[in-house]
Amino acid sequence: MDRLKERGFTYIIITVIFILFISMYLLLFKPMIEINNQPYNISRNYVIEFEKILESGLDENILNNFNSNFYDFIKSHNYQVSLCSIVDAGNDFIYVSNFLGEEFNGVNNKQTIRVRKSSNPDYLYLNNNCVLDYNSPNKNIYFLSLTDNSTRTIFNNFESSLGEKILIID
Amino acid sequence: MIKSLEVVIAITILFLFVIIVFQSVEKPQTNYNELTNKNYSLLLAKAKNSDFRDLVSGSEIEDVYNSLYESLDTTYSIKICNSQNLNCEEFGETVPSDSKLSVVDYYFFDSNKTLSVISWID
Repeated sequence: MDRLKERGFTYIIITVIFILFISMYLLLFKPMIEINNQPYNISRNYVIEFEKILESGLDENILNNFNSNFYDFIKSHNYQVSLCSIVDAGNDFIYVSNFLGEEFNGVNNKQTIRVRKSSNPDYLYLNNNCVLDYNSPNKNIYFLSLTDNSTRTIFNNFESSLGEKILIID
Repeated sequence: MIKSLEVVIAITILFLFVIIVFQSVEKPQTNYNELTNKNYSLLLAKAKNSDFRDLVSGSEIEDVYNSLYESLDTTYSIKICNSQNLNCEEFGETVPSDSKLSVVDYYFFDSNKTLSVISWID
């Protein structure tokens, strides 16, 4: 035994025991590192389809159906979702679509309305998450929020610090 | 000196083993994450193609399956459903009940249909 100690076999034996304990631990409690890109991919789905309907032309019914169907699609993936979009349809008309979960500025939840751009100068405000600035390069804006058990992910295509404003619905 | 060398060798073996085990345990989950992200990227690119969209609109499921074949290098099956997930059509390999599946969905507004790509590693 002394000879073994002198040769340092004790260290080898201790190392092997450590290896066995670590192996058992890892087999019982496998570490899982999961990177969830699903919210990002769902938002890309929304953006692609949003751009498609802008290309093909829309009215308040089409925009409402789009947001309603996409709302249900996201819910089917077990996310809590809130979304809104504002579309400049041209000809002085703007469509405001509210799927944020509650009424804002006279627009009910799950409702899309048409308002006059001329009645709402400078910018169009639904709530802090949904503002269309007429001077911005984006003429059509969206806001999408996905929440699962632990994480809320937000996607939008605008930045705004224009402040609150009353929406004039003719 | 011999004892010190034995200690160094033992510690080196231990660290190498721990690293190898961590890599082997983490790899299967990473493979499925990579597979899912790759399939999503493919689907997002295909969705911009009007020919592909026409195939989905017409529920030409075999043609949709074939159009994905060259880009997907795993075993897979596809499903096209209406928005309420009724009247679904499926095509492709038989989905195993005992394998971990990667499922990616894409919603097409113009046809009000959802395309699902279900893939797995044999």
